[in-house]
Amino acid sequence: MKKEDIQHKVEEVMQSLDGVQSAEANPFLYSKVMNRLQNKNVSTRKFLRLSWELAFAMILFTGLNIAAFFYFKQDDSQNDDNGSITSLANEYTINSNNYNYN
Amino acid sequence: MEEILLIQGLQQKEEKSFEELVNNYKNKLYNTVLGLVQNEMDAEDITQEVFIQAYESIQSFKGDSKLSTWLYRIAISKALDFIRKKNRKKRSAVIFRFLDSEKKEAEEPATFHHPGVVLEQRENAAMLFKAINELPEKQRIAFTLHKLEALSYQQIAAVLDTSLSSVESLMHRAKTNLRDSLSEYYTNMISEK
Repeated sequence: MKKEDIQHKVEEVMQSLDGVQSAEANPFLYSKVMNRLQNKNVSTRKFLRLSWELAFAMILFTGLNIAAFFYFKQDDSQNDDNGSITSLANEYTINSNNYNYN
Repeated sequence: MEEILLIQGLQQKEEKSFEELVNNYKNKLYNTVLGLVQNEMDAEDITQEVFIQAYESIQSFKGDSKLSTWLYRIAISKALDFIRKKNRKKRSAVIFRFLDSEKKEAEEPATFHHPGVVLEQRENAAMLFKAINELPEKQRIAFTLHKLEALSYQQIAAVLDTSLSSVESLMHRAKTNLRDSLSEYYTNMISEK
């Protein structure tokens, strides 16, 4: 192929799209789009429901944790009260373990 | 249905208006997307996405441009996003191939055959589509819209939101780049023989 031939070939290729027909889309495109839109709405609803369920579970979990915290804190303070009674008893030597009977 | 009525119907989410929109514009948008992504399955998928986005975001359409211009913009944006993603995948594949030194990258053949091209121009058109693929984005869009959709430079300027002189310049550079790329290809082909 000579230089002129190359130029000729290039021009031939450049003109190959002249008068090209438009490609036609699938005749059922509308049904396909509607189907996708409906599926998208269903998955969005599912996602929202899952989000609400997760949020509820988180609130329940946090609430239970807070309740447990206060419950055990109260229990500890009762133990602390017992501790102070024991130390008072020790101070006045009324503990049954080290009472001197002599 | 007049365009204003169609837009009002779409904004009220009327199914009949949406069906009319799809039927009026499906071929234009599919043809544009096909010219850019050069694969029929991908083009159909992207065209569907274009209509879904149009349906969901019609409330934001203010009527500053024609409805067709707005739709072309969505279609081009979706097609370019798809091409960018595909190119990223290709680049990472090239890196892996480079690491695996035994496999050598062969030049991709011109394989895309547009269904609207006459049979005797099939091979030449496939060569041209391969060269179009190598153009910078804006030149590729301008050339594709002009050649495949037969849009005027004025309409292309509206779609690209640019001036008429910019489109003229884009088209001139696109043609120059295509001629250079094709000349190089055929010159290399001779020297290899």
